[in-house]
Order: sequence, then C-alpha cells, then structure tokens
Amino acid sequence: MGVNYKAVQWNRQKKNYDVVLWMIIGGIVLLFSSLQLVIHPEITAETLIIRTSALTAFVLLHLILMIGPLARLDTRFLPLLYNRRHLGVSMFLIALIHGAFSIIQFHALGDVNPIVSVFTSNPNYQSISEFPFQILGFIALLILFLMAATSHDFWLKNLSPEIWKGLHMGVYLAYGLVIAHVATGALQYENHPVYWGILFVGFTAVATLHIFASIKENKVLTALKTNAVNEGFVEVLNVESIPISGAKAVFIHNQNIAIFRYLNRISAVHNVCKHQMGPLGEGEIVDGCITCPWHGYQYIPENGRAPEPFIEKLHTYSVKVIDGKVWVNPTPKPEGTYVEPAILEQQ
Amino acid sequence: MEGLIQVIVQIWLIYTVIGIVFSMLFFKFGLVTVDESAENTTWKFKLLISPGMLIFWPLFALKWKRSGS
Amino acid sequence: MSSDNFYVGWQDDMPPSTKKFIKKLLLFIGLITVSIVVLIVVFQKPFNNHVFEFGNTTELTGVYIAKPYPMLQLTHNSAALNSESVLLVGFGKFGAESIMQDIENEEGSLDLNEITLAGTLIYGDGVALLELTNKAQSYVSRSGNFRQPLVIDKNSELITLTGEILDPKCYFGVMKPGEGKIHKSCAIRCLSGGIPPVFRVQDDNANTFRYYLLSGKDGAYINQELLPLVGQVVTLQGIPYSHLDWTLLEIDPKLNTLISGKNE
Repeated sequence: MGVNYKAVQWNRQKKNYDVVLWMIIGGIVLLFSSLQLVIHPEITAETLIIRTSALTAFVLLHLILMIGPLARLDTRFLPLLYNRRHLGVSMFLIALIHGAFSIIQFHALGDVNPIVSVFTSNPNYQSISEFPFQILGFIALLILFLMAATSHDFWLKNLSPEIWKGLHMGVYLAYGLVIAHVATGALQYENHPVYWGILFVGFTAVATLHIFASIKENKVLTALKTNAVNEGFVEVLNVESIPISGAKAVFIHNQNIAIFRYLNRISAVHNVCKHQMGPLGEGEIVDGCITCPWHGYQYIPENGRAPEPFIEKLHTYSVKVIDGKVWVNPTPKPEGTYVEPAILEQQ
Repeated sequence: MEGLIQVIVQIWLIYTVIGIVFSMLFFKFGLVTVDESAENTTWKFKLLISPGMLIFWPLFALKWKRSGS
Repeated sequence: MSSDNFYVGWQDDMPPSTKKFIKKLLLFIGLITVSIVVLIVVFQKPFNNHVFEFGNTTELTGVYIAKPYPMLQLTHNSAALNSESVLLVGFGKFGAESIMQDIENEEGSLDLNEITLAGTLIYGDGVALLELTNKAQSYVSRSGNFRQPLVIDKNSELITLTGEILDPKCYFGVMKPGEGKIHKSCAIRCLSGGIPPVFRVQDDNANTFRYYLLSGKDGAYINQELLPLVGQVVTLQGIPYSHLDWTLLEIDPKLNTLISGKNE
C-alpha cells in the first residue's frame, strides 16, 4: 500500500454490506428476544442478554466460516467475502457482550476476582459433562479479540502477511473451542435433541464446505504431473483452456503461478495477492489490470506491479506459446520485473 | 492453581497498563518513523489500532528502537 | 470467461446477476436463521416462576434465629409470602452471617429477639429469602420481644436422597436458570461466599420438589466441602430434622456423599 491509512476505507459496497449485516443482527436480536418474552415471560434481563448475544455471535461465526469455501467453490459468493472483516469485528463485539455479561452474572460480586473465578470455580477438568466450559469460551474470546484487534490493514503490513494470516487462521481454533464450550455448557442443561441437532448441522456444514473447497483446490494443483520440459520451460496447458481476460493457476516446481490471457497476450505472475494472499488466478483482468477476486487489489500483468500510487509487486515468470500450448519457466523473476508477454496469433 | 491464576491475571494487567502508556507515547512520537503510511492519519485510525497495541506493543517498541538507531 | 459478473468490491455497482444472486442468498440465510431462532426458543426448558423483587425494598418483622443459618421467624404476615420464615442472605454472592455480625456489634446480641429488617424479597415454591441489600443498614429496629429457643427433635433415622445441591438465592428467584451446569460456577461462588446450601429433591413421578437445608453435624459449616458436588446430581445420606418450616439435613460430607455419574 502506498497511500496513507484511513480508519475505514469506506465505499458504497462496504456501506451496503454493513447495512445488511446490522439488519441481520438486529433481526436476530429482535426476533429472539420477543419470542422469549412471549413464550418464556419469566426470563430475567441478564439471561436474555446472555442468550441473545450467544446465539447471534454463534450464527455469525458459522456464516464467517462458510464464506471462505463458498467463494472458492462459486465466485458468486465473493461479495460476502469482500467486507468480511466488518462481519468478524461485529461478531467479536457481540461475543464480548456475551462474555462480559456471563462473567459479571456468574462470577462477580463474590469472594474471588471474577476472572480468577472463571478458571478456578469449577475444577472438574477430568470430566466431560462437568468440564468447566467457561474457560473454553474465555480462550475463544481472547483469540477472537486478537483477530478483531488486528483486522486493520496496518496490522497486515506491520505483522507481515504471513504472520497475519497465521494469526487469523486462529479462527478455526476459536471455532473448535466455541463448539466445545456450547456442548459442555449450555447443552448440558438445554439438552433437547433439537439443540444437539442444530449444533451438529452447523458443524457439518462448515466442515463439508471446507472439504469440498480443498478437494477443488487440490484438483487444480495435481492436474499437472507429467510435463514436457525444454530449456527450463515447462509445458503447462492449452491456450484455449484459459478464459479470455481470465486466468488459470498452475502449480509446478513448487511455484504457484497464475497465467493470464488478455488482448491476445499471455503473462504469468505469482498466484498469491500481496494483500491477504488471495488467489489471483481466480481473478480477472479489469481495466487492463490483474484484479484479485477477494478485495480487488490490482497488478499490471507484464511486470506484476500495482498501478501508482500503490507499491505492491509480484514475482513474474517467462512464458512462451508454441502450437497453442503455453510453456512457462517456473524460476521466479525478482518482484516487479518486466517480462515480455507471449503474443498469440490473430485468429 | 488459584495463586497461579491470580499471578497471571496481575501480570496481564501490568502488561496492559504499560501498553496503554507506551501507545500514547508511540502514537505521538514513534508511529510515523516505524510506518510512513501512518502519516497524517486521523485519531479514528489510531483508536482502531490501539486495542492491538495493548497486545503487540513490545514488537513496536523494538521497531521504534531499530528505526531510531 | 471474462464475464460481466466479476465482482470487484470497490466498484460502485454490483453486476446485476450478482446482485440478484446475493438477494436470493440473503433471503435463504434469513429463512435458515429464523428457523434456528424459533427452534431454539420453542425447545428451550421453561423457567420457574420464582421472584426477585429487584429494586423494591420490603421491611419484615420477626424473631431472629442465628443458628445454624440466619433466619427470621415472621411475626407479622407478609402479603407476598406464604412461608413461616425467611432465610437471610447477603448482597452479591455472600451469606448474611457477617452482616448480622456487624449489626450485632452495634446493637448487641439479637438472637431470639424480635427485630425488623429491610431488604429485597426472593421467593418461590413456598420458600422465601430476604437479601440484606444495604448490608448493615438493613437493620431497622428491635421491638424488645423475644422468644424461647426452638425445641429440636433429632431422633430421626438416617435417610438417603438423590438431588442437586444449589444456592437458594439464585434458585429461588435471582437467576434463571439458577440450577444445573450453566449456573454451576455461580452456585459454587455463592456457597463459597456463605449462602446456605439447599438440597433439591424431586418427588417420585411428579414435577414437584422438596428442599433441605444442608449442614454438618450440629449445624457445622460445610460449604467449602460441598463445592465439588454443586450443580450436578448427587446422592446424600443424612439425618433430617424440622427447623421452623424448613427441613434441615445434617450430613457428613466426607463419609456420606455419593456422586451419581449422571448429569441432569
């Protein structure tokens, strides 16, 4: 990024996204609490707040986890991915309400510091049904805090994209902890099979989507096994298999390469966006630039450089086209190196 | 067990208080030397990154020291 | 294929086909969410109808009984309560013992004296408690009347009962649910803070409960020993005796406690 940070880089889509998101959140809160008050009018205000925030955060967490694989499986889901960080931060804030109210309700005004009490009040660590489930939720909340607190692109740059990405993979650990927190906590009391059914369906949906997405990815990666090699160039695919103004990703000699076809030319760049490591090969050419499907970061295909004033640079690769086949040299050029594109014969 | 948890909570509290003091100084004098993209940024931006500062402040103390020497 | 459908977030307008898809998707998400919310509320366990008169102070007059747990034997009927006595508890997760101690340091011994206390009522299922919300300021006055010590008959046989140990303050009105796993840590905090332990036993083939106040031999304080047993189904052996409108159960937490594996 070559421009100064903004608190939030607002644009129309982000505003629409947040409006819809908070309509969904408001809808859940309103529906859940009014149903509670009608069906269970004895409910206390604290219990209502604790349960509403728990349910809302839990639903949003599932949505967050499903967006990633859905967008890999079908690009029509990409608009949900675009502003996912606002979804994540909103989910954390709601989970924080749940955590804070639960700690106050169940642990405060007692003979021990409330945080200490979370860890010590119930010492049944060896049991499953009696396990101190609050601890699981507490650690999950800490992980979600870490992610929400580092969601600004400032952190992406200052922690480095690799560490940032690793940190944000923590969502899977948090999800596991939350599932265990619910299973050993609320569902030990509210033990109707419908509750277990909802938990199971949610977990299965998240797991299945991730499995399908990784199968799809592996297919792309393992498709090329026996390739002809000539003077450092490897034959990878047919020109015709690359969509016009689109790309195909290949994985050869440990290099993840996106091969773009545009204006009767072929160029190849590293398939990993400098922003959040998005898959450039699933993007397209927009206004003459490679455009990442995740957040719309752009690069010039010939030299892998982001247009001014941005400063991101990708590795580039030499390419040639022989008899309608694309050959690529999998030795990466230094980031931002201009490489002559292969020109296709006019048809 | 209870004693240990108590000590950890105390240490965490002290760590956070140092983080708050450090962040205030860092935002005023060090942020731009560590990351030039933070020049002319608003208080809203600083507010948004401050919760993370309470965790990662030692990293920025290190970066600040390096950029100064 | 380069498509008109490729979505770039910073562009002002979404491609129309994407827009249509997202609208359908949001409708789908909405339907799923609504059904989950409805299912969760409908299949939720009902709450009890116990009452905590939060923010509402009531003055009660009765004879103060200090042992084994601070209680007031009511001498003037209270409209809301259909019990002979109220169990006294402190503010937050504390018993009333230290508050009564503070009051007695000022006023002299109050045991068996008729006094008036102000506090917040907690009641349900035929049981009533008074939270001394304003701590030592909860004391209003003494009338000068007093009663003879209670006559206690402890000649019963040892009995065995299965149920849940809970803290009466939360269970009889402050929290819903004030029992079971969700509330377990809170009940542990409350008992640890000196709130008298109550043993809830479900009647055979009925959805009604009997309640026992638990203590050690001769009213010994055993809250700390009971903490590992709170909030789950346990079997206890003890000797019951009547104490005002309560039944007290004297148990030996070391010898007579059996934990059943099943959680309610």
